[in-house]
Amino acid sequence: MTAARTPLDTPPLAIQDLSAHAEGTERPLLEGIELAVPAGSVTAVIGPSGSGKTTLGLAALGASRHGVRLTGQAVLAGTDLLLLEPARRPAARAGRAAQLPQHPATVLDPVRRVGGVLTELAALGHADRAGRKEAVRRALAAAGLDPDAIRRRFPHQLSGGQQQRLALACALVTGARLLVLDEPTSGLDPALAHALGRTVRTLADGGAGVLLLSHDLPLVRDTADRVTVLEHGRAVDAGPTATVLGGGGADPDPGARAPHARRSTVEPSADRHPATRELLAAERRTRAGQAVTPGTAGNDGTTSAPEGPRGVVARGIVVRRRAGDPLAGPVSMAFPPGSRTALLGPSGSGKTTFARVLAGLTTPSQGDVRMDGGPLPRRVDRRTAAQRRAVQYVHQTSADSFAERRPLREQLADTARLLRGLRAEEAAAEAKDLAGVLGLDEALLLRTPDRLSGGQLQRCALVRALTARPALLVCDEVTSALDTVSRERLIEALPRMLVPDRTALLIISHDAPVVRALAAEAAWFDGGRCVRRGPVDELPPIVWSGEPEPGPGGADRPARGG
Amino acid sequence: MRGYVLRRSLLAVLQCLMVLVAVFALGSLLPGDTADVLRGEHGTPAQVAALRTQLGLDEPAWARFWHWLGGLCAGDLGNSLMTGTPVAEDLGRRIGVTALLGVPALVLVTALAPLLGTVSGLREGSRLDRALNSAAVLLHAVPEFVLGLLLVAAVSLAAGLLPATAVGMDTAALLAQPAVLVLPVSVLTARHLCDLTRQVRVGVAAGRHGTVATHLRLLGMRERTVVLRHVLPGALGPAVQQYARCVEGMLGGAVLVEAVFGLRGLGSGFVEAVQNRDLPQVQAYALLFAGVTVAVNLAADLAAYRLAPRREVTA
Amino acid sequence: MTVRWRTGAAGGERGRRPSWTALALFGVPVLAAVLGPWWGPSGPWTEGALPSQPPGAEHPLGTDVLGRDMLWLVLHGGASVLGGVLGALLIGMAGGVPLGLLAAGPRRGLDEAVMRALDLLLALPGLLVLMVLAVSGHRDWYWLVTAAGSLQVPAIARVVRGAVLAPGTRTVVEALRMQGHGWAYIHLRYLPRELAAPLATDTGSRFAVVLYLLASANFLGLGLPAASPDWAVLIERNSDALFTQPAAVLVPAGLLTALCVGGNLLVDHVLARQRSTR
Repeated sequence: MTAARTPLDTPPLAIQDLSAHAEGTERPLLEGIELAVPAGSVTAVIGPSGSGKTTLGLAALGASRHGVRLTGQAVLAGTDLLLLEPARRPAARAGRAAQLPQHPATVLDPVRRVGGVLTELAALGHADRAGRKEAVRRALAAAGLDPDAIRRRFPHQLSGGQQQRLALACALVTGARLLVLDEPTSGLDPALAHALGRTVRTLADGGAGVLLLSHDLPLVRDTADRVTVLEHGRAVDAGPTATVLGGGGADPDPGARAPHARRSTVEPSADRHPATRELLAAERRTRAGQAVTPGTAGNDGTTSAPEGPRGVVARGIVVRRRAGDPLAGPVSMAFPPGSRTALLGPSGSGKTTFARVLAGLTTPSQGDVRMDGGPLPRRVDRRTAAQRRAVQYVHQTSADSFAERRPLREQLADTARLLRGLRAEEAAAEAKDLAGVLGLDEALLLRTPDRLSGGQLQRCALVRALTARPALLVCDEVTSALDTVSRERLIEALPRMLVPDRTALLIISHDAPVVRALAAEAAWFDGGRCVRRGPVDELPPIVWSGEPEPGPGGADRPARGG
Repeated sequence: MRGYVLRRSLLAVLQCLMVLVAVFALGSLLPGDTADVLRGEHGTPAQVAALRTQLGLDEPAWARFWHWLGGLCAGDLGNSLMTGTPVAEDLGRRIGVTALLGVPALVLVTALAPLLGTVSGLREGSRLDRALNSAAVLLHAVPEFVLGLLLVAAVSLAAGLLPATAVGMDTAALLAQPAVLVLPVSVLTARHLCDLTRQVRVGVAAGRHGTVATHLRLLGMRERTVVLRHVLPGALGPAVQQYARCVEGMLGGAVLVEAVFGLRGLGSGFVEAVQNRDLPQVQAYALLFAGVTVAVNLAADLAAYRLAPRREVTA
Repeated sequence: MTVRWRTGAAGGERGRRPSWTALALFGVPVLAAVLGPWWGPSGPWTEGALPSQPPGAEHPLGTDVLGRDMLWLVLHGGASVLGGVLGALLIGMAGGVPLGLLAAGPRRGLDEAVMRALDLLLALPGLLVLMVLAVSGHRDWYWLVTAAGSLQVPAIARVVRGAVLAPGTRTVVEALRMQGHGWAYIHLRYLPRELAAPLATDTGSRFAVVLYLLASANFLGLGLPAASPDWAVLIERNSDALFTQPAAVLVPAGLLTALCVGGNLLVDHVLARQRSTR
């Protein structure tokens, strides 16, 4: 990993008095940042979105978005990049620094084979042919890929997880001593996120300097030695990870995370900067979401009876596709009135496909869905109004599920008008009340969808489904576009909005706190099958951490200084 | 890869079959046949009937299709109804003239479009970029016959520079006097060169600012390597399909250009055959033109799939 | 180095300004085509007119090879050009829109069948199809326009199918179905509004394609009779007299070019504006 070009005592990156200004704006994007990334350690920068993390990550490499001016110093292995002409900076970076961006799959060249691109990148740090070949092999192995199996492939032939690891290999193959990781776990399911965290730690232990930009506090706790807190472009707090963040705060169920997450039990001291305290408080609130769940969850023996006569029941669902099998099935599941179920599992395991079958949006090749014992037609357009009422599905991309040019008030009222036969005014009034509970005021509903934010539309989609008073409400990643405050409010309000003794809830989510707060039962999907079922509280840590095997030697890593 | 090649080739075979059936069916659907045309209004019904038997026009349709297909396989395209000479002979005489038009035009487009497209994609907003963009907008829809006549009026008539027509010249005469070909080749090239250049330019400009190129620069890759190894290959996939459209468009363009400049190539031969309703000739031309189109599209789709395997292209 | 995230702004700014050049180029031939037929005497023939006379006092644009008044011909020749293009576009949409909606429906088998069949048709260059069709003896204007319109069906069906299956639209349709909206509401109220924008853009670019096809076919004598005042036919008839009476070729050629280029500029302008607002 270590390039032998610079003396080892020079830190891979030293940033001094770095500021960034966007053209035509007063407020600086970054102001007076001082930061060093020593070799063999992980330095994390945390902060809410918009605090300047990405700008800092680019600036560390002497780069910036179009129209952004950098001042100060960004010293990479002894060279101040900002003193160089922009055109000469790539050469100064070559073989010394590498970056892994937010959505790694998008930076892989779709038209080139993996091996060719890696060899080109290896040439940046290795002059001889044998050295390049060896570097490619080592980088792929370090990223957890089989070099021989992958070299001749195109990126689109790899799974999401493999693409992510390949992007990491692209960063490693240059032999860089500095790695900049920008929100490396965004969009990853817990299993992949966790694996990535371990790889990063291994790399740092091997001598690389890592700059980690993230808002994923558990990841930072697991991997970082030092933390800098960024707020409005300023470094407001810094220190060893354990001192700044404590050891996971008020995790209500420490066993739920992988064992080594319990590294320290030190609570953050009360004299930290308000921004740090706010980040920790938001994390604590989300984790404690469980506490607001009313004790009325219908898990008293009414669930897990596939032949249960009441409510929505799916039996033997199989979906076949010509290419790939997102849902192999067969899956059977019952949703008696009042039950709260969560579907968990890695991306691509068939959760969404199964949910769409329930709603009649995807046609299964086998199996049927029944409501109170009577069959529901497979396709939603064949269902009667009463049958459509039975299952309501809220899309993962629900912000895109509204007609562009109609005011939301009308669109939300349609459900109750068409499915329950209410008059238009009654339907509108009911939708308005439900929207109010979720914090959407009436003025907002008079607008057309293009004038609302993604999070607001996601809540509107929920209201639209709820006014059907369905027997089963399916929420597919409904919290993904919500900020922390809206998410808390939704977790708090949703249970109250379900019709007691009628509506069952099915949620699909990667977000463990949301699942714990809203669901009583959980079903774990993998490879298109439901492989495990049980009460949420009794699920083993495997489900949350996503680790395939919590091996016997899962002890803490050696303590690191800070 | 193999699955796509098979599926795409099957489609091409189906297209060829469809063309064969359609081209033949056309002949049997004629309201009057060649015998009527040959005899004109003066022939008695008896004469027309005799001619019909002589030409084999009174056989059932399937039998004639079978004869025709058998002949095709043996390389026999039939005899022209007007002149009685073999159609293949006529095609052979004309193909040289069309080649003198089409080959230089294709070479120009193939060589210049990637070059100009890359340069203007790398220098967005430069003078070259703006000029090419304006030319593409101007030339995109103007039919070749209009462009040809306007050029003749400007260059030959007003400026007195180049010959305006090549009426009656055969391949040898054209080769002896290449100045005659300058205007026809320019007209045939201009529109497609602009279209293809624009396609390459869009791909290069998008790729250059794309996440892949940006990231490679962040990793320290040299700009030259980024452009030549990543941006250009990404832009060529869609351009190859546009290239197939160019070849296809040039077939139609050749018909118009030959008509304007009085060249006796395949295009004007086709037009004459259509006007004479000389069925064997029309069938031969239609098969030739359709066959080239199907083949070019097949080659382009396979090449595009190889260049950009993620975009599975349907023909 | 500076990472550029947005492409240069030159195109966007140009797109926002109303393009008077484009409007003028497009407007002149359209006005001539629409208002021309109401102008002047009932026929192009005048006593004692000589063929291919250059512009003069009696004939402001001279005469054609048959001795007809060029001004009259030019003013009456645009109607068939513009009418043919619009007719062909309507025919293309009448076929393409239902087929596209059908293919975008819930049945995947139907989708495959429709799109594969259209792929077969898409294989052939339009002008050659028109030439071959002309052999069958159907050599009038209506037949030509119908054929040119039918040739646009596969491409229009593809645009419609693509728009309906676009991720956003598909999600909305699913949500509407779950809400209880029926086939009629979705297909007759929601989708037409969603399709209007992509179809309008496509029609703009398709205008040029159809104009090219029809003008070329008429130039080759595949459609209108040789005595027709259609601009393309005039160009063909008078091209031999280009040296003696250039106006008889250049005026109709100029009008056709203005129509092509003006239409193209307008579409380009609209597309640039769409891009910059997105």
